[in-house]
Formats: sequence, C-alpha cells, structure tokens
Amino acid sequence: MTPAIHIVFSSRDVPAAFPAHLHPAWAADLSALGPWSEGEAGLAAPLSPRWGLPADVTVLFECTSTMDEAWTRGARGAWESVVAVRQTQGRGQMRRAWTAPPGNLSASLVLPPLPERLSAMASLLLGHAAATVLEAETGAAIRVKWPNDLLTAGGKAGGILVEERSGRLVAGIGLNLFAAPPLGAMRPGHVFPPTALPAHPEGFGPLRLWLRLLSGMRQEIERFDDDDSSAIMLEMLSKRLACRGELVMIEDGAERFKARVLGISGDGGLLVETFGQKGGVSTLYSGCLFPL
Amino acid sequence: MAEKTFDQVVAEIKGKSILVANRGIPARRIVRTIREMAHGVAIMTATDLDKASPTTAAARELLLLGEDPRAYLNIDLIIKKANQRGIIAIHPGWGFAAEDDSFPKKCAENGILFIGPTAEAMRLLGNKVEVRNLAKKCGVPVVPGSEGSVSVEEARRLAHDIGFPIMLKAEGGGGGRGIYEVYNDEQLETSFVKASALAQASFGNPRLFVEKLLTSVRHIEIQVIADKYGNVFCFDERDCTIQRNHQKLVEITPSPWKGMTPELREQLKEYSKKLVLAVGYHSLCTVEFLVAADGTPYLIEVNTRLQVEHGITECRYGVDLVEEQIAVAFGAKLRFNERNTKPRQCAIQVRINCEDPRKNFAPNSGLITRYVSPGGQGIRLDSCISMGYEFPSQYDSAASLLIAYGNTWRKVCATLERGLREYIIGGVKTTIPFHLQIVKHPGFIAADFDTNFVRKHPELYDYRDEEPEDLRLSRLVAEISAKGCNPHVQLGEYRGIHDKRVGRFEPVLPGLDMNATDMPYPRGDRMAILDKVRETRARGVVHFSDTTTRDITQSNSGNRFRLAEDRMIGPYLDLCNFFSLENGGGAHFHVAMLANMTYPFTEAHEWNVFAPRSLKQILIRSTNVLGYKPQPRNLMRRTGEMICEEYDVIRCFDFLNHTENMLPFAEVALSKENKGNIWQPAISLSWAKGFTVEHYVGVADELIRMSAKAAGTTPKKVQKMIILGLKDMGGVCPPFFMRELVGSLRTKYPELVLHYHRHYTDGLFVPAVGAAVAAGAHITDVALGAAVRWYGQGEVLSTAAYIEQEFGLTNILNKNVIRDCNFVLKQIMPYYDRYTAPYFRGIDYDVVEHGMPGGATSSSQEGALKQGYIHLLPYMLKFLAGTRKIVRYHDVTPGSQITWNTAFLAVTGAFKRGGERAVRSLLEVLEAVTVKAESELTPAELEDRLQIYKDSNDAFRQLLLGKYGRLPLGWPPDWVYESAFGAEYRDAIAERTTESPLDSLPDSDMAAEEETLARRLDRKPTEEEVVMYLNHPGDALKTVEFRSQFGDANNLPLDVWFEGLEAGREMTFTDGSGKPHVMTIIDMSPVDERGVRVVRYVLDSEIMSSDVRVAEAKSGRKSSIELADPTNPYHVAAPSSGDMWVMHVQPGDFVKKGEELFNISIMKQEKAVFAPIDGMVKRVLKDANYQEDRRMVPVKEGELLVELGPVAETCPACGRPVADSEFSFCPRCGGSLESADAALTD
Repeated sequence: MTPAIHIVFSSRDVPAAFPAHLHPAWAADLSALGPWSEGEAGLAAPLSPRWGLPADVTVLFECTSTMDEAWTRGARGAWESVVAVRQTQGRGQMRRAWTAPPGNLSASLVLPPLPERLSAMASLLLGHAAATVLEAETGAAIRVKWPNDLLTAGGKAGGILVEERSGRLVAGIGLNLFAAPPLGAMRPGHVFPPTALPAHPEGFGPLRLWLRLLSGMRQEIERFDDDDSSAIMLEMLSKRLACRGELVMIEDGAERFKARVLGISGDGGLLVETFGQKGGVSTLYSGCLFPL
Repeated sequence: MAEKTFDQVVAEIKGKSILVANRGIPARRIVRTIREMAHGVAIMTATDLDKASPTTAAARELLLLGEDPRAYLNIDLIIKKANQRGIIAIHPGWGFAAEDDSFPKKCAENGILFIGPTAEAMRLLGNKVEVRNLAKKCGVPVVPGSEGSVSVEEARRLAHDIGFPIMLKAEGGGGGRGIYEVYNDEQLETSFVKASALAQASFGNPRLFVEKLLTSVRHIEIQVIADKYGNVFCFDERDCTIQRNHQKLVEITPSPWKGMTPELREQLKEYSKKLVLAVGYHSLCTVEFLVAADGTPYLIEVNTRLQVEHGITECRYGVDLVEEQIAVAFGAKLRFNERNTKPRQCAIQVRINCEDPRKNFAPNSGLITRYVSPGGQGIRLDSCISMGYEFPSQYDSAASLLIAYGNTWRKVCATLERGLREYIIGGVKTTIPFHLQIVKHPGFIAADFDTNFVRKHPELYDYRDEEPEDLRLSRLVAEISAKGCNPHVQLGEYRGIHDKRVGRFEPVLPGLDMNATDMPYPRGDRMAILDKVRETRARGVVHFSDTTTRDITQSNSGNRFRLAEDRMIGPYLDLCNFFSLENGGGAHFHVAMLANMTYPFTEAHEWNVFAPRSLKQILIRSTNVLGYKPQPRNLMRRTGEMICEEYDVIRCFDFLNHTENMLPFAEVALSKENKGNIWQPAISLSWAKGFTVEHYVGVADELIRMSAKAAGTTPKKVQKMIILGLKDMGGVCPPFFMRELVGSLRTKYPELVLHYHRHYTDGLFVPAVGAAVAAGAHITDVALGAAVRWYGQGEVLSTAAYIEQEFGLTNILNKNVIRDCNFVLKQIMPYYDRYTAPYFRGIDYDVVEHGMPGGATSSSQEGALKQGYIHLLPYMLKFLAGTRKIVRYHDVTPGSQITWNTAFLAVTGAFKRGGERAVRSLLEVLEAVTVKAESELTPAELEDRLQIYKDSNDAFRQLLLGKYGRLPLGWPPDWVYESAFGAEYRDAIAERTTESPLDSLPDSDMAAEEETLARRLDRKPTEEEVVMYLNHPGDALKTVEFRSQFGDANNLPLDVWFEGLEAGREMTFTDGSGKPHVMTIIDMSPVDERGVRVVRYVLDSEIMSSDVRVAEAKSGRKSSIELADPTNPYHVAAPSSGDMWVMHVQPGDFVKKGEELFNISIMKQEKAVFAPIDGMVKRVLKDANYQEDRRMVPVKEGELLVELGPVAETCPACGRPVADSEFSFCPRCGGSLESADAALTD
C-alpha cells in the first residue's frame, strides 16, 4: 500500500478554517503536498514516491507530545512518524520542557530494530543522521553537541530524544525553524543560546522538511546495518562533534570538572582529557558539558 | 617634529624596550627585526597558554598576560603592563587588536608610541564605508552598488544603472556569507525575498544592500609605506587571487597574470598613493583591489597594518618592511624611493595552517610529533611551531608562512614545490598537501586563475595525505612489539611479549636460473595451451598444478602466505614447469584483506611480474564469487573482468552443481577479448548415495551446455575450449570411483581436458590421483612437500614418482627447482606453523562418512573447542554423516559451513535440553530415518524426527527453499521442512524455487556504493578498491585504512610481522619506493595506568616514540555498590551504566508486571525499566527525581536499584495486594480484610 500522510483533527481544530489559521509555512507545505482527500480522522494524501518513504506520516494539529503519540498509537511499524503543529507538553530530556511555536518542527518516529551496539547508541546515530541530512538540506554547518543537541552558527537549533521501552525505540526531534525560544525562556544553565536553522532553500516548511529529513535519515541509518558499522558511524559523527579539542566544563551528577573534549569512544561515550592528579583520558557516558 | 634619519632612530631606541602585542608568527617576525635593528629589547606578550611556545624564544623578555587566552585583545591590560615595564613603543602585529582604532589612541594617552597609523587615519582608511566615500572623492573606482540597505524597487533601479549581474548582500553578513547572486530582472524580486528571509534567519537582520557582481576577478593589492612628512612609496602588486571563501591561501608578487600590465600597475600605485595622501597617513598599509578580467580595477578596502603576506614584498625588493615601519613611527624620513628600491625577484607565499583541507579546512590542534623544515636556496620560512609543541586550539590555525623566491615565475613555482615536499609536520593535519596540489596545477602555473580557482577545481582535494611509509611502518612494528603479537592477523593474543620467539628470519636463497625465459605452456593463447596439453597427454605426459600458495596455505589467517613470502618463493615455483600456479581465490582472496592487509589484485598483478612464465589459476565460488553469499550479476561480471586480467585459469565451482549459477563468469572468461583465459567449470564431488558416475556425467553435460551458451558456440566446439575440473574438496572419492568417472568422461568427451583436484583428508591422495591419471585425466593438483600438511593437496614429487613408476606416465617438472623451492619453504614454514591455529591437521578416514572438507575439519574442531563443546564433537560428526543422507548437496563453501552449523546447532541444542542422553536419542532418530523406509518408522520416530532440524539456522532454511540454487538430487522429504520451519512449513514448501538465485537478485547500485566508499575514504577509490569493497565491504575498508595508516606490511620481515622486535635488535627493511631503513627499539616502558606502553625507538637517525595501548586503563575510582543477582527475578538492576533521572516507585508500592519502575539516561537515550513480574517494592536503593531537584544519579550496569518481593496477600474487595499480613483493612480500598478467609472458602 502506498504510504500516506494523515492529518488528524482533534475536536478543537476547525476544519473550516483550514489551512488559513496555520503558520504560513505549514500552509505552504500542506498545499504543496495535496491534493487532500477525506481521511479516517481528518484528511489524507498519498505520499509521492519521490519522498522515498516506506511508512505513514501522521500530522496532529495539537497533542501533548509527539513522543506520547508515537508510543500510544501502539504497534506502529518502523519509520512511521508523527508530526505536531503544536505540542502542549513538548519534552526534552528528563521531561524538560521543549517549547516549539507553530512553524517549528516537532516529530517522533518509530525506529526499526537496530543491531545491538547501535541500539545502545541510537541517540548518537540519530544525531549523526539528522545532522548529515540537515546540513545537506539547509546548507548550514551542523555540529552535534554530545550526545544529541544539534548546533548551528554557535546556537542550539534542535534536539533529539530517544526513548526505549522493552527494546523498542522511538526518537523525537525538535528543530527551531522559524523561531527560537527567547533566552529568558530557557532553563537556567542552558549551554548554547537557542537559534533557528536557516530557511530551507526550496522554501520547505516543517512538514516537507520532515519528509526530506526522514527519508534522508532512513538512508543514513540503514547504512549502518551491523555492529561493526557503529565505528564508522562514530567516526563520521566525531567529525561534527561540537567543542572538539576545546576546554569545557563537565557537570556529571554532583561533580564539576574541567576537561578537554577529545572525541567519541568506540562505544559512543565522550572521550575527554581531564587534568590534575587524577587526570588522563576518560570516557563519559553521562553528564552535560558547557563550553568555557 | 623634525625629520630624523634612520640612524638617529636606531640610536634613539638602542637599549629601549619595544613590545610586540601579539603572538605566534607575527610576534616572532617583528621581534626578529627589533633585535636586528639596534639590539633593542624585544618584548613579546604571552598568555599562560603561550608562555612556553616556540615563538617566545625569539624575544628577550615576555610580558605575561595571565590565563585568559583572549588577553591579546585586552588593550587596557597590555598598556597597563607596558607602562609598568617602561616600554616605549608597541607594535600590534596583525590580527587581534591591530585594527582597533582605540589602540593608538590609548597608547598616545599613555605616552607610548604606537607603531602604526594614527587612530584617525586608521578610521578613515580602515572602515569600509568611509574609505568608499573617500575613494569616490579622490576618483578611485569602487565596486558599484548601493550606499546602504535598499528596498526591492531601489535594488531594481540600481541594477538597471550598474547592470546585471548583481549581488544582494546581507547587511549583517560578512566573510562571504549571506550573498545572493541575481542575474536578471525576473529573478530579482524572488531572490530579494529569499535573500531577505535568509538574512533574517541567518543573521537576524533582513536588510540587504546591492553590489555589482564581478564574475571573474583577481585580488590585487598594493603595499604602501608612508612617513610623517608626506613621502610615500608604493611597492609592486601582490596577487592574492588564490582564495577560499575570501581567505587568502597563496600570495604572489609580481602578479603572473598576463593582464597585469605596467600601465595597470602604475595606475594602481597612483590610486593607492592618492588615498594615503588624502588622509595624511603614515606607516604601512595595503590597498586592496579587485581587478576584472578586462583590467578594470575596483577598490575594496585598505588594511592599515602590517599584513601576513608582507614577506613576499620584502623578498622582491630585498628590504625589511618592519624595520622601516618602526623607523617611520619614530619620525624617521622614509628611505625608499624609486631610485634606490627596485624590484628584483619573484616570490610566492603559501600559508601553512593546521587545518584539514578535506574536512572543509577544519582547524585541528594537538601535539606536533615530527617537524622537519625546508631550507636551501630560495626559501624563507616564518613559523611558530616546532617538534613537541602542543598546537593550541584556542588561537588561529596558522603554523607557518613558507615563501619561495627567485628570478622567474617558473623557477619560484619549482622552488616552492620542492620546499613543500621537504616540509614535514607530523601529528596534525596541515594545508601542505593541498598547497602542493595548487603549485602543481597547470592552471596555476599558467597563471590562469581567478578568485574561484579553488572552487572550480575540486580535484585539488584529491590527494593522499600520508606520512612517509617508513615512519608509518615503524609505528606498526612498535605496536606489534609492545603487544607481543600482531592484532591485525586476527589470531587473538597468540603470543605474549616475553614468549620465546621462532627468531630472526634471514632466509638463505639458492640461486635462480635467470635464463629460463621459455614458456612451458604458450601463455596468452587458450587454444594453443589446451592443444599442447591434449597432445602431450596423448604421448603419456601428465601435467601438474601447484597449490602451495593458495589451497595449502589459506585455511586461517595465521597460515595464509603474505605477498612478502610469495615474492620469495614465487620465482622458484615459476621455474618448476607446473601447468599452473593456483595463487588466488577462495578464502585466499578474503584473508588477503582480513588479515594480511594486502590488495588481492595488486598481489595477483605482482605475481605476474615475479613469476611471469607460469599460468595463474584462481578459484571462484560461482554466485558467491569471492565471498560467502550470492552476489548480483553485475558485480559478478565486474569482478570477473578484473580476475581475467590477472589470472589465466578460472576454476569455478558451485556447491549445488547448479550450473546456471556460473553463467555470468563463464561469459566473461570465454569472451573474445579474453582469448588467453581458460574457463574451468568444476564439478563438486561427494562420495555418497545418489552421487553416481552417471549423475556426475550428467553434471558434466550441463556444464558443457552452459559453457557453450556462454561462448556462443556449440557444445562440441566448446569441449576444446575449456577444462573440466573435478573437485573433490573433502578428499572422499575412492580411487576406483575416480577411475570410473574419469574413464566415462574421457569416453564421452575425448577432446575435453580434465583437471583433478583432491584433498588428502582420507589419506588416499596418491592412489586416487594415480587412478584418475591412469584413466586419462590430464592435469592434477599437487603442492610442494615442505608445505604439505595433509588437509590440503598431496606432495608433488612422490605423486609424480608413483605415477611414473606405476603407470609409466612422465612429466615435464623441473625437480631441481622444486628442491630449491622446498628449501626456501622449509625456512618460511616454521613461522606459519607456529602461529597458525593448532587444530586438527591429520588424516581422518571417517571423512568419507561426515564429509567435512579440508580446512573445515580444523576450523570446526576449533569452533567446538572454543565454545566448550569439544566433548560433543564425535556426536556432531555423526550428525553430519546422517544429515548428508537426508539433505543432499556438496560439502564445500558455503555448503560445508551450512552443514557444520546445522550439526553444531542440533547437537548443542539437544544437549542443552537434555544432556548427552538427548543428544544420543537425537542421533538414534537420525539413524532410524536414514536406514528405515518411511513405512517402517514407529509413530514415536515419526514424531521425534521433527527434532532433527528444529535448531537449524536461517542459512539452512534458505538452502531448503532453494535460495542458493537447485539441490542436486532434488528436495528432501516434507518432514524436513516441518522440522525446520515448524507449523508454517507448508508455506515454506510452496515458496521453494529451483531458479538460480541470480534471477532474483537485483543488480547492485555500484555507483552509489562507490560514492559511499569515496565518502568514507575522502578520496576517489581505485577500481581495485571498489571491487574489494563490493565483495567484502568491511574488510576492504579495514585494509584500505590499514594501508593508509601503516603502509604496506609486506615490507616487514616475516618474524617481525608475527613477533615484533625486541629492544636492542636492529631491523632493516625496504619501503615501497625501494629505500632501505633501519629501526631499533631502544626501550619499551612498563604498562602505565592508562594501559599504555611507550615504545622509544630509532628510525634511521631520528628518535621516535609511540604510545601503544596494550591494556584497559586502570580505573581510579572504586565503589561498593550492591549488585543485582541476575538469577533473582525480584532484583531489578540498572541495565547499563548511565544516569538515573527518575525513580517512580517507593517501598511498599505494588507494581504490575510491565509497569515502569525507573528511567535511565544513557548518552541521553532514555531507557525505561519495567517491573519484570508483579510484586511489592521491598527496597529502593537509589532515588532520583530530576524534575524536582535537577540531579541525576549515576548508576552502574548490574547495580541493584529496586528489590521487589512477592505479594503477600490481596484484598478480596479490590484485588490489590496488601503489603503486610497484619493489616486488618486494605490500605487502598479500605475494605475489611478479616472476611477474606471466609470468602476464600466458598
């Protein structure tokens, strides 16, 4: 069956006003992806094969979080995804709030089963894939702050969250496309100032960018089809690692220490050089880094 | 102020302190002049990071700026410290604060002389907008455009004025970013909107201004110096056209461009002079122009400081610009004029930066491990690095400025190329190889370039940036020596650093007959070769092929010969008069990459150089080609074409004798272009029921038909064009069978040449070969005695003697050379014997039952032993014997692996379920189903036989479905499917196919694969690399990367490859370009807490050191965490080390199976951990609630986090558990628990 895009109306959406009340970028995307026909819970349109996508994409006008939707929509197949125009409780790591005004991208996708080692570093894999595709799409240099922030032009343009439940993986991606949250809205101690990605050269809004991103990420992810390829992925990722070679402050639990970022270890940890008596090269699997 | 002379200034500053407020290259450059000028006290600023950098050595004193690496920008701090130190003048260098117009102002306020222009002049000339206005006033042309940001309408009006194309530039942009090119009116409106949106998104400022787009321009600049008295001198131009993203890469004086006429030069000088005089500027400055292809210049900006590229002007004129700049600053009259300052030389400067050009010029920092600077005539070098310097990441990436100067442009290009080749910077990536590409580029030498040169020539990036091979190989030797074993041969830790060695390999090589230039067989002409074989065989001459360097020595990565040893014995083998030398294919191809880090086709090519007389033979696994799974047709052909270039005899087998599978190869080998190639389809032979002489003659019929089809000729004709191989890889067919088979084939196909290949496994090699030859076989495979180890082929001289004495059949072998070759092999084999896998290498007559072929017998034993099932090996062999009667095919790759895995899984599976008893009953059922007819089986046996393939793997099931090809004796009975596939077995039966797997394999997208490889390698791969990659992607990459990291390991002696060097012993080796080198390890340190052994060694005359990680780093911290008991279902552990950020439960909670207990963030992947069973939470060992306290709690893998307990009782009312049996009321629903008993008794 041809995969399709489904727009699901919640009770509060007013189909009559569609799509005028949307962000213009959404409006442009929806008109470009039409013609739409009446679907089960809203509208539906077949996905043109040029997007190269194997599974359905669901668009929600409003939801708590695309992560919740991806999980609760049950046994979805690999590569199915959910995109939200608005999230009421968008989340980042550890249930930090993720603010995304309409126009920005909030999406979650169901990942296919990955080889064991890659599965353990899915977050890095996604970071690599998303950065690679975004760089090609927008032309902006994208760096990855270990393990999963997407940076461009010195600011944070997006984040990735991977949740695992009983061996299944769902990944969420938030990208600032049209607006970055004001500095004041950031949690205290945030690392990089929020920023937005440059506009897509073909004028894609969040939905078309998501389709392109998803198909590109799938290609990237499927390249790494065995455990041995995790090393290749890490090597590619380490080339776009932010703060590489720089001194940073690491906050890990209650500890704070200075370190130099060296790269990524074979199992996805962050290789850092620490100083002082107990100094040396060590590998971090947790913690947060702050540029100095 | 009165005019001073230069000498007066020198006298004035003698003994006074002058500060250079800068670091790195400019600081060193200026300090040098200060010292030369008047023995002035040269002082350099330095932050903590820089205080011991190589450049500081040039200064007399340092002015320390403290720990902030950016302190060079802190003008107030610098002036304060300068005042304290009594400094009279400050030179700002370039970069940092050099163009900050508050610097001269603040110096003036503090009574310090600023060596540079005044603040006012700096502002007037240095500001882009100001200088544009000034230029217009002075009649100096500027790039036409708007005076500020514009609207669409204004942009359109302006575009019509100045003409398309134009650029829309973001006001907030700069450095080449935020530029939109517009070529016509139609584009303007949409481009404007896009550019504005882009500017908004990129810089947060949508405003745009317009500038004429100059499509092909050169960057030409004029160096000017002026004194305080209105004397101005303009030097000849510098051509800085070679740029990347507006960053200058190469600077040249004078411009080699043919459009650079004397008139233009004068005009540019005139413009420059006007600007300088207009603002009363003194000191050095550079006026920069863009010059269009037609010679029209446009002013772009003026740099009011000493520039990075000033050195080439100094070389052209033989002056010191900094000296003059200092003198002028102190009030001296300018000494330069047209009469005394004349240009004499040409010069080029390249900027050597610690950047990786192929990674988008990403800066890199780190330890400079090696530094050899260029020198000699015509070279000037201004550097800031040295060996052992930790190049910092905090500053720019400039490492040095390399200038070549001389009389002519051509000479200077050559000098520069030579200098770049001499220049060695190790440890960091630099722009040296990229500059070499530029300097060698014909477009550069022809001076045919504009500012787009680098962008237009992506081939500049296609270079190999490798250190010299001797250095790379020395690191490999250090690694092997420090570990005591070679990790790259994939044998595990096969020896330790202190183990006894076989010792130094210093082979004694008997002389070779250099006059043997005749060809024993007319190589290159298929028909002539075969005619000769037929004709001589008719006269009683038997032919031999040698397998010493392939089949005999390939079964694991420890005994496959390296190319290094092939090079040694190949020339002897070449003189033995073998029909062919089998030197490629099978596992040999893969192991070349897996463990020998050798390019297999390069190896084959070299064989044809050192052993040119003999035909070379390769073994191909039909559809699997050189790998282990079916490959698409287009890949088969591409590999086939490459094979045909290097090999003469192409033997191809299919483990199912499914002849169609060979067709793509046959087509290549029999094509008209390859008239020297001999196609040898081979019948895989087994000794088992159903595989009769008639059956195999039938296979021969099919092979001939298939070959005829491939050659486009008749079966009759094709018989004369090919060889038929008889491949008994198990070594199982008895002599009488071979006599019958060969006899029947000779009768049916008298013109067909037969080539017999057999292993020794059953011990009957010699009589079987004798029988086949006596029956008329033409050629037989043998090997050299010194290498024969029973599992491969038999020995040449004994076999030949037997045939001669028993049957009177002669041969053309050169026995003397065979003896010499054996002598060399006797010296080589001890190393391979010592380090090859020590598993079964004897005779096993039972092979006729179990059928495990040559190399597989030892590897199967190894597999069983390593997995702890050696006691089950006899059962496994018995299973093999049985299953071969049920699912019938030939035990050769990949069939042998499939059969072995099936046996291994079945026997170990039964063992796991019920110990040896279960294994024995499995074998009893197997025995029963193989000897009894279906009707004789008991109901229990009918039931139990379904156990036989229950544990089989996917490969076996694929085989049953026909996915490898058609089974030679038809499908096995249906119960086999029921056993292997379970309930859905009928679907499996319906899915079976007898089509060749080639028909269902889509062609591989080779262009895409090639691109992937190119991306991995950062360069265009060679054809061989592509074919290697397509066949074995992982190992091909490993080999390519190994070669780039270490070079060609075949250049190392055999003992060093396996054993490394001990300290104090000298090793000589020759690198790939034929240069000899000497390496001696001085010492190897004990393993430190990083797990590293430091190896210090001398390579030729340089002392080097290499850190080799030989163990895991010792962890510093110890903790006493409670570990979960993995067998206790109530223990819930951290599934991996990470940060717990939320714990959902607390003691006393009841949890349902599948409920989330806690969540751990591992590399920011959030892993939910669920309750494994229903239970009551007894203990929670760590708590976390990130959302409240912003704290994550580190946990270790296996650490106990939650302990559950069984549920004591449940509330009869709500059904939920009650924590304690002493409760009277349910804590959840409040219902009485007292009535529970009563309720339960109902």
